[in-house]
Amino acid sequence: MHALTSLPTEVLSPIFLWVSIPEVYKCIRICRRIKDIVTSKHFIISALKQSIPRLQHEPDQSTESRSDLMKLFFSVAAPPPPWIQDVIVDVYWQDNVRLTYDVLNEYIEIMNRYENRNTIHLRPKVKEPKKIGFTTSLCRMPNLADLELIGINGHIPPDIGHLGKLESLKLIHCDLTSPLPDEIQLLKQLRRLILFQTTCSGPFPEVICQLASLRELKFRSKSPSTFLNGTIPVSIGNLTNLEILDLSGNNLSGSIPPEIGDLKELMILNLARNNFTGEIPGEIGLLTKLKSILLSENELSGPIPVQIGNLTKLSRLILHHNRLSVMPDEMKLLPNLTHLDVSHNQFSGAIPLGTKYLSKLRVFYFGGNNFSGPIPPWFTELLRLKELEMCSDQYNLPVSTDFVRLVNANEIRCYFDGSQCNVKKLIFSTGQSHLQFYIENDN
Amino acid sequence: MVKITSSDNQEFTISKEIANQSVLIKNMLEDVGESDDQPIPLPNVSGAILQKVIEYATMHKDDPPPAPEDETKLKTSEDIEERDKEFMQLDQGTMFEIILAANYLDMKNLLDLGCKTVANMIKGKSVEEVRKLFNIVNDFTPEEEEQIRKENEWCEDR
Repeated sequence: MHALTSLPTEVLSPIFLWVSIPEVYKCIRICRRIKDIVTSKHFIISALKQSIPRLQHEPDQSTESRSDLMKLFFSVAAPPPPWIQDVIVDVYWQDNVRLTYDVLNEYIEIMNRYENRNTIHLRPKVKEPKKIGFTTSLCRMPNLADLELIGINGHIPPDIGHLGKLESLKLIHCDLTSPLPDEIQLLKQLRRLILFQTTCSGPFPEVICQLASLRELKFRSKSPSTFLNGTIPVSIGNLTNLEILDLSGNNLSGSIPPEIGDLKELMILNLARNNFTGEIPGEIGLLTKLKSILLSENELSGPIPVQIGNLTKLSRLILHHNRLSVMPDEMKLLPNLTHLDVSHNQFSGAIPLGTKYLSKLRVFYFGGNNFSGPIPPWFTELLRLKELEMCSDQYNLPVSTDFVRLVNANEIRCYFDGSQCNVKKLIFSTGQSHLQFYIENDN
Repeated sequence: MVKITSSDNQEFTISKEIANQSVLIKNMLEDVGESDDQPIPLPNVSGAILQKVIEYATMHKDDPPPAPEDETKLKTSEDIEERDKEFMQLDQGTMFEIILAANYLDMKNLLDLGCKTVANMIKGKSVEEVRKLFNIVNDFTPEEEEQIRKENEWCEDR
């Protein structure tokens, strides 16, 4: 009498083809014979063609069958095992230069359905969707230059080093369970490394500093528990081609290394929302291509370095919520500055005259300091000013008709402790032609 | 009419339209020519199974020629006619023999039917249930099994 496993392969193989994807994934575990059949490349290609009929008849791969195949590869309802993924990549994606997929979107959609179904107690219980990992299969595309994945899980495998032509790696809303592997340093062509809203806890991965081709480096963590911590290594100075450095919103500490001055191509420096201490290194003045500096919400102290005056291209200088105490007069050498936020620091004395020369200034926040003395009359000469925020209990009441001349200002806020006049907040707001003002009472 | 004999020397006389459903017999008939009266030996199929196969072929003798396949249509094993489902209500041994016979006789529709029927018995079951149903011995070593489980981890039930 015949048994299933005694059937010849030419018959067993079509039987398992009809079991079809994704049910066939489990069959690998039944016994050796069946495992050999369903994991053979020939079988997998046939199974793929059966579940994506269009694949069969389009040797040139239309967009439609490509996207069906992509959906299957990244499926969260029934993620394919590596032995299927490998074949998909080897057979269909060998020449891929670019691969981008949003797993999160599908995950959210299916998760909603899953939750609905399981709350009304349908049996059998539906399988919970799973986000797929960054699998080694993805590292089998020798020509891949651009990889963008949204919402994947797991870790980046060491095989990433095989993607020698990778220029851009973007991971958004991903949960990486372990730090970047050392093999990432093999990606000599990498110009862009972006981990946005992505979990990647642990110390700053120093291995990144070997990637001399990097133009753009962004690390933005998802939640406080997954921040990068530790210090920025001095080897950051190796990244001499870097144009954008964004490490904002992490838990980095220590001082900003002076080696940052080696990043001669830098245009955007964003280290906001960390725990950096010490002074802003004067070497920052070497970065003459800088357009934006964002160092807000740290523990930085001391003066803004005088070298800041070298940064003639600077348009945004955002330093709020630190403990900075001296604003150099060299600020007046920043002709392109449009946004200046020095609020909530420990500056004191009169508002430095330097600011008078900031002819392009549109936004100027300086409240939350210990500035004293009257509002300087030249404020009214900052004709492009659109937003001005001050809050201080040491100013004379700045209700001056001179403000009328700030014709471009959309909003001027003056906060002060109005114990004398029972006013908490005064908002001046100019429309096109006339000035309005509101007085908001405490109660 | 065409005469065929089974492996156990049972002779069947069938109409040509039934015989032609087997590509194997059809080709043989073309090779030997119309006049030959000798029965065609089918040494790989027993009389009992041949009986079932003829039953199937008779049931389908008036089927219209198959419509050209819609190439973009998803083919699934659930797609079985009711009368075929009834036909396949057999013990596993007979079912496998029919599949083998269909394969040997080159009868695509019957082979598909058999394979789909077995596939449907596998679908929706756990690995252990499949092993039990088909009396399959797990021949993996515990180490191998662990390895496979690990590799397949993220597509299996947790």
